Amino acid sequence: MSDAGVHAADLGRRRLSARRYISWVALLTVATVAAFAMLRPSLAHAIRETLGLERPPLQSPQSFYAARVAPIFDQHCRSCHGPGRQKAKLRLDSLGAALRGGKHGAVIAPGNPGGSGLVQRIALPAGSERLMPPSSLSPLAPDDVTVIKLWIAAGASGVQPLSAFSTAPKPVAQVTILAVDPKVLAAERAPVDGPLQALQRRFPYVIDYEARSSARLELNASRLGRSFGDREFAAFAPVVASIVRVDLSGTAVGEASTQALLAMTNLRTLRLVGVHAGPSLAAALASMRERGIRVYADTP
Amino acid sequence: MQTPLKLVRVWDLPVRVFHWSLVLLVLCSWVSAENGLLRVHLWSGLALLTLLVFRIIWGFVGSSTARFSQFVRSPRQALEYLRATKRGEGQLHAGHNPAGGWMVLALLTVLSLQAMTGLFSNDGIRFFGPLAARISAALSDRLTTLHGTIFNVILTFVWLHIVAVLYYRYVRAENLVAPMINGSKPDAMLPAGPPPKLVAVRWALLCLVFAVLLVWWILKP
Repeated sequence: MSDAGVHAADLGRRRLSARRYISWVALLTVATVAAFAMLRPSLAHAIRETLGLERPPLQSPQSFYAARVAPIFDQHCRSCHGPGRQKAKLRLDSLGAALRGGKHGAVIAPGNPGGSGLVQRIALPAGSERLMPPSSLSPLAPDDVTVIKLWIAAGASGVQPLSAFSTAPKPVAQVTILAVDPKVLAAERAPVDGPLQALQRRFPYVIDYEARSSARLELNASRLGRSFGDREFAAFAPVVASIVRVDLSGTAVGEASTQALLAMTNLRTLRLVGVHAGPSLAAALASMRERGIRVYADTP
Repeated sequence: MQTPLKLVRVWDLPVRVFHWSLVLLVLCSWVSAENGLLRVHLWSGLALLTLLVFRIIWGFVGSSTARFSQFVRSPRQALEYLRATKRGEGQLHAGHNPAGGWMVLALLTVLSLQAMTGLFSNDGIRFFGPLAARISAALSDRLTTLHGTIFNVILTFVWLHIVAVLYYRYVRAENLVAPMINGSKPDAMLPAGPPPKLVAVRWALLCLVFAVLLVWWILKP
């Protein structure tokens, strides 16, 4: 724009009335907002559903989606694509939301897993920048990817039953490893720690905690053979309530240890192979079996 | 034959460069965020923050049309100006008019909030704003949500700004864009009195250096 281009006649020229201009602006504003809404599929679908122009997809709690696909989304995707956070405006915490897609459009193309953005992203090689879930989160197992591919290939339905997916990989049992609170564990171990250390000095490798996360004990005197008898076994009285597994096979314990064994209120397994059990010990073993303790002994 | 008008410099170079840099950086930040280019988004946001710091300083020490003291009027005066404009009687102003002054304040405020919340934001995956580690993850998440919400406010304000500029262009036949490019207005569009007092560019460069250092100091580990 040059200075010479500005002339007095340009000033004061009115091209539109204020009313007309505001009408145009209002129209343009509505159109722009509508265009924005349409560019965001989730919003557009929500509006259509609210207006009754679109029905949410049918779903059955017994469907393959509910049993196999939704749990994968919940476990691996929901933290970033769920109610709390919607990366790329995408939610995968419901079938309707998953089918709507995100800000880049649909990520699931029913019947076409190869053409589905979701499959393209989860099937990328490990280490890829665009891999989903990202490398910082728990990855999908190959079977998970297969399940999602099969589901999309079959139409990404919310009602197709499990029986329709006979070739799907079998579900893997979930194992939860509970976190150990060191303070709680130390408090649980406190009553037995002192006596245990004394016993470990006297009988090396005979008694210890059953696991690093446990306050319960296991006792195995079988390697000491006949040198371990009733008198030695009696030394474990201070920790007897914490012992859950005992192996006295081949030792010299006998009738005199019956009461000590019965005092093990938390005992789960007892091995007495090669130990001669007199009448009172045999009766004690029978009562233990009745209490659900697994007893391995020569006596019936 | 039309009479050429005498032009008077009303906007200094720093204000004009700031204005159009801001436009480009907001666009860059928008496009980079939409396309997951978060490194670009980060640098664009930092540049934007630096420019905003500069503009705030310049609002106190810059040219007369850039100074807050010259264009920030009471809300009542702004409303009176708008009513007068509606009647076609709006007074002439060399720089921002009273309503425009509030728009400038509003935009500076929301853009500053946006830049600051961006420093603490995260994408929950790989990207963390330069100050995100200094606050809790929950607070960072909340500021990330706020970062997204403020952007909608920015879009609304930008839209209002454009609507106002086009109003002047097509209803009042007053071109506000050209002066923001070449810095000058026809003297017939200026109020009576002395022309705006412009401050030398070297002082703006000094303010910019200070803004860069301030942002660097805020972000240093």
